[in-house]
Amino acid sequence: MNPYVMLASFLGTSVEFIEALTIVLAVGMVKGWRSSLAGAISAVLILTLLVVVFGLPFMHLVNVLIFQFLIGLFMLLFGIRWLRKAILRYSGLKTPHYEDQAFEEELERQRSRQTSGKFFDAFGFATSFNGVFLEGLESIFIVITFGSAAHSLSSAVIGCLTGLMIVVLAGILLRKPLAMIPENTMKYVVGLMLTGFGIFWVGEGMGISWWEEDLSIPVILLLLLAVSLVCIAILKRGWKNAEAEKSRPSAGGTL
Amino acid sequence: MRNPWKVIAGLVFDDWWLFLGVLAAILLSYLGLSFGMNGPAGGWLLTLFILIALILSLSMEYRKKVKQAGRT
Repeated sequence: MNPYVMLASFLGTSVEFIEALTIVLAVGMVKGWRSSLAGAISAVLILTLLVVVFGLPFMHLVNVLIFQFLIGLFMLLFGIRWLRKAILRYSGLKTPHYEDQAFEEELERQRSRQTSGKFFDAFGFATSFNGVFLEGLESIFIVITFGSAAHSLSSAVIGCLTGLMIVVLAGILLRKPLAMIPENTMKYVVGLMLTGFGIFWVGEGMGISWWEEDLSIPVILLLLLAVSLVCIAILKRGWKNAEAEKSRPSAGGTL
Repeated sequence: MRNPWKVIAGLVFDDWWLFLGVLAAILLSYLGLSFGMNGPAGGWLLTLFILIALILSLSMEYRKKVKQAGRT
């Protein structure tokens, strides 16, 4: 056993597992746990199968950059759409329309289907699957790289499994507190996260070596949060002014 | 059940500005990297372009809503 390899593998893979967990939790909160967990479990099963079938040469069979670019683009396109909707909703530009009512009705309908046990969301499944598949793939690369370099694959595997158990436990504990967050806020946060991860992975897929690697993700998220908050404030003020302007002549006419 | 491909198609047809903005952001960043821009700078350029695309899309939506409100 090599404790250094174990620690390096534990830390390296834990970062990847935490990233996967945030996606699974976020998707589970918004789209239902059934779809989210099914996506996550399917990804783990496929990855396990690939490793069992191909073994160590698996590392040479996969081009991670292509996966990162495609999955990143998928997440970016979904995430930015949600983020845009959330900004419009918070700034008041979307509430007066029937679209929101329909959305609430759809949500209510989905909720009732969910409680009857028949509900399954393809988007939730695909997003969770993609996130876990990509992060799992990166974890396998970390384990194989560290384990092979130090000729101690078992230490790297133990480090990885310890990280996985701790992150899964954290996920179970975090599930309840997250359920208390309002639906709209959750959608806003999920939009921010998917967009942030999407930008990061599209960049990685393009061959960008990010500043401080995975530490760039919180920086991107903070940038997105700051810009979206500024947008909400500006749009809200502008929309209020536009509505006041509109009501002015009509109010004069009634007098 | 909502099909993910329908949602992607919805993004393309619902909001051209956002779709084109994201596409342009990726292409411009790729060009920047091809012309020798260093990695981290390319990453921040990509982030900046995507933020610009989002702001552009939001401002277009705002103008549309204000126009609609003015008509009614």
